[in-house]
Formats: sequence, structure tokens, C-alpha cells
Amino acid sequence: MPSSPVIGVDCQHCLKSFEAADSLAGGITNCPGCGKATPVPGLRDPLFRVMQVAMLGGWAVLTAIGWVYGGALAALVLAVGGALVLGLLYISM
Amino acid sequence: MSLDDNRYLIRRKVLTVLGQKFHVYDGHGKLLGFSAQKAFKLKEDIRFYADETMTRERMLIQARQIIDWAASYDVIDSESGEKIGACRRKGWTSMMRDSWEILDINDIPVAKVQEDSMLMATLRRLLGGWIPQKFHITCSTGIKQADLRVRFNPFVYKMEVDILPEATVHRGLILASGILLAAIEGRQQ
Repeated sequence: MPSSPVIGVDCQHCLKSFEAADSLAGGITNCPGCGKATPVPGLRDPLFRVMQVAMLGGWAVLTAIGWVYGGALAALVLAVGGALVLGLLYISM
Repeated sequence: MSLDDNRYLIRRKVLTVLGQKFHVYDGHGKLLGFSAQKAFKLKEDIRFYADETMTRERMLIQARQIIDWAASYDVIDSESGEKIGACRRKGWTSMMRDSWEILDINDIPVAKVQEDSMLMATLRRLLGGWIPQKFHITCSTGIKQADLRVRFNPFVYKMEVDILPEATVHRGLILASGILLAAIEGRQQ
């Protein structure tokens, strides 16, 4: 019988390493050592990766369009503006 | 976080410009928790503090994934630092009738939260927010645990949470499911 997938977790409180169910990825579980809640790594949300690629791609395309049609200043404005938006989105995640 | 009362009130300000503000009161009207949710937060993170000074965190409800279609939300008692369980939204079912599952610390469903009836749920979706929502929480053996009732008020969202004295499901999880209903389902209306 195949075992269910697991993720390696390092407790942020007692530093003990243990395994948690794959379904808890990106969430929180109690450490079997100290009993405290600790984050489970691995944001496996596929949409997250798609969003990251789309945002970076969109930023690069907009900057290129600015360069072609508006020159260096337009490209700089779009690059800085895009970086600010991406930064804000990153913080909000 | 001690939750000895059987009755709670969750209050959400409707006319908040950005984000959401929640107050949770116990049965005697004493403030139990306050939360100010930030707007534009992709990954849901609801932190409850003892009061509006937001210095002492009491409870944390955090989404595992960014998109909340059928997301699970871990519930942590911030005072003890332990996870007490999770709440999982049933995405497709909730389109017609709001449905959630309450999970224990091992992600095993221990109770379900469901809108009172399919007929009323359909009418609410057709008539907007004019018919206040009601929810029942029943454990996996079918025994009722709590009732959640939304009071009609166009300016302030109020949800009464009545927990049955014989309830076996963790009261923190029942309260968290009410908060999630107010935060997630309330936002969709």
C-alpha cells in the first residue's frame, strides 16, 4: 500500500525535524516534540507559480514596450512602477 | 484562550474603507477579541487580539493557499502557541449552500458547518443580503453543536454564535468557523 506523501518540517521553536502530511503544505501543524504550532513549508498552490511567472513576464513586456515606443525614460518609469507593484504584491503574500 | 461561554457575538463593520474590522464579544458583552484585516492580502491571515491596542494576540486563522476556493484555514491558539484544528471551505457546495468542515489537528473532519436549508440558501442568493443567514454545526456523529445566526443590519454585520452546553467540538474552532463565515462568505455578498 503506497504511503501518503509527506513534507519535511523543521520546528521553528525547538528545531526538531519531523514529517507532516502533504495536505498541510503552506499551513501550520503542531510539532510532535514541543507541541507548538510551526509552519509547514512548500506553498504548493500551482496558481501561485503561474501568478509569479505572469507578473514577472508582464513587467518585462511592459518595460520593453515602454523602451520601444517611449524611449529610455518611459522604460525606466514602467520598470520602477512595476517593481513597486511587484514589491507590494510580494509583501501582501 | 479560554472560551467558557456558550454565547458569542461576532461584529464586523460594513462601512470600512479598506480591509475589515471584527470584534468578538462573549455572552456578557465583554470584548474577547479584535481583528483589523489588511486589504489586498492575497493569503488570508486573520489575527485576533485581546483589544484594539493589538498588543496581545489571542488567535490566528491562516489560509494554507492563496485562492480560497476550497481552502483550508489553520486555527492557532496564539496564547498557548498550539494549533487547535482547521476549517475547510467546500468550494463547489458553497456556491449553492455555504458549507464548511471543521477539522481536528490531524486534518480529520470532526464537524460540518452548513447553511440552514437549500431553499433558504437559494432565496438568499436571489434576494441578496435581505434574508439573514443561519448556520448549524453538527459533529460527525450527527449531534448538533452550535447555531450561528446573522442579524439583519445594513450597517453592521452581527453574527450570534450559540454553542450547546454538550458540544464536544473545540469552542475555538466553532468561533473560528463563525469568523471565517463573516470574513469569507460575508465578503462575497
